[in-house]
Amino acid sequence: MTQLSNPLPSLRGFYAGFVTRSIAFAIDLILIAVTQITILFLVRLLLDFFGLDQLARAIFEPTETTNVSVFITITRWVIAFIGSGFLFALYSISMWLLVDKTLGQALLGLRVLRTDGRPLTLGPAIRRVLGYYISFLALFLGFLWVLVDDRRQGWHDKIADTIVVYDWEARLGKRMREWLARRQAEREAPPPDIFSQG
Amino acid sequence: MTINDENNTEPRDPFIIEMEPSDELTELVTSPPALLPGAAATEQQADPPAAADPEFDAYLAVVKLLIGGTIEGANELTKRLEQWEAAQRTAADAPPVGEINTNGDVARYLLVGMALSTTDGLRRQALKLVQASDVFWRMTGSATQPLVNNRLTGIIAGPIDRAIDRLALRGQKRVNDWIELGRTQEPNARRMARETYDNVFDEFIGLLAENQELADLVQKKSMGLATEAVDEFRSRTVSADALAEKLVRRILRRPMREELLGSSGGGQVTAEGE
Repeated sequence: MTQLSNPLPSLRGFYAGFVTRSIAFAIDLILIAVTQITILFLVRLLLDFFGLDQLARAIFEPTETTNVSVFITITRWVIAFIGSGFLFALYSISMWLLVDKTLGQALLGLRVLRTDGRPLTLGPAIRRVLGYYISFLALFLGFLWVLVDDRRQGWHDKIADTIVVYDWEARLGKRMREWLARRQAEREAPPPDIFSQG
Repeated sequence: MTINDENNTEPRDPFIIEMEPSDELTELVTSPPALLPGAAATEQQADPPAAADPEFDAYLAVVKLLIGGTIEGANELTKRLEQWEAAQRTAADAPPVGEINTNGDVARYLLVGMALSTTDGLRRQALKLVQASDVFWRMTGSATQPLVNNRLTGIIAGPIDRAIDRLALRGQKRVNDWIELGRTQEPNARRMARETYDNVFDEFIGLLAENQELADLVQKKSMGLATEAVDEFRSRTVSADALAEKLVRRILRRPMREELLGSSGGGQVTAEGE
């Protein structure tokens, strides 16, 4: 097995990869879902408290017998899609502007920056959130682009001119390091001298 | 010495042989100490410190502590279970009998019922088995008695019979010694476990509360473990990043990324203002 001759330098500041970013994104989505459920629960309680239990039942417990008006339908759509989208945008933008990372990204040790290394401003942050939807609508191709791009940028990163980097002393695992070292050694080894043999 | 209770008026079991404890175990067998901590406190035997006692056996002490802890723990658990069951029985808001709505409910109730009845049944079967084996040995013993007592067979089987008797006697003696040892040492072990629990944990918590350095150390250790776990998780995801990229690049026949080994040092971005 190839031994590593010298300790591996830290990958801090290096472009973060697809798996780490996906896990961070999933954590953020879970957090947003939990927050949304909590908000809906509180809204339901408030409606009940103010005597609007029929409205609450129509919105939260729709049945075939419930008289569904246009207003109720719109409210449901607002809650289900626009509400969650708004919450997601609000959460992401505010976190990026405040600390350059969302909670999921903080847990995974990531940081979102502009390509010149400066922190995000409002414009790029909004563009990045909108870029998420474009990446999503293109059958996740925009997210998968991270795997092939040299700077590990997804479409949303390209749109907002941002990058995501490791914000901790990131290092590869032992096996991956050994594999990469082996490949490097193979590449640096001189080619076999086929003419001098017999 | 006998294992039968002195007050027991029932006829003694013929299989239990009365004898003195063996020499090697006699020194271990002492009169059982009091179980209650209060009574123990009144005794105040002023035991010499462990290091000063040349006959102190750390292994034996730990084994005794473990046994005592197990017995005491089991007793405490049994007591609590009994209390909880009694509280449940007398509770006014006892849960109603479960409803059967789906096939899943039926399967669940079936499993619960089976588990309960099997446990009870196994216990009864084990008792029956013990009784049956006793009857079997009595019957075979009486049936073979004429053969063994016969003069002709006695010449052949006599030495074997005597050897088996000697073996059984030795085995029974050993069993009796063990029983006696257990009888005398169990209370000791229980007292030791209880005292350890009462004293050592109190001392430890007191020490932790008073000693700021130790408290800091415990806190730092916990924090260190959490940080280590997070770091480990993160480095696994970093490796997974490289692995996923490697696979995709191989499929697309693109060259591997060199910067991960830090050879070129490219790709590193520094945030402004740091």
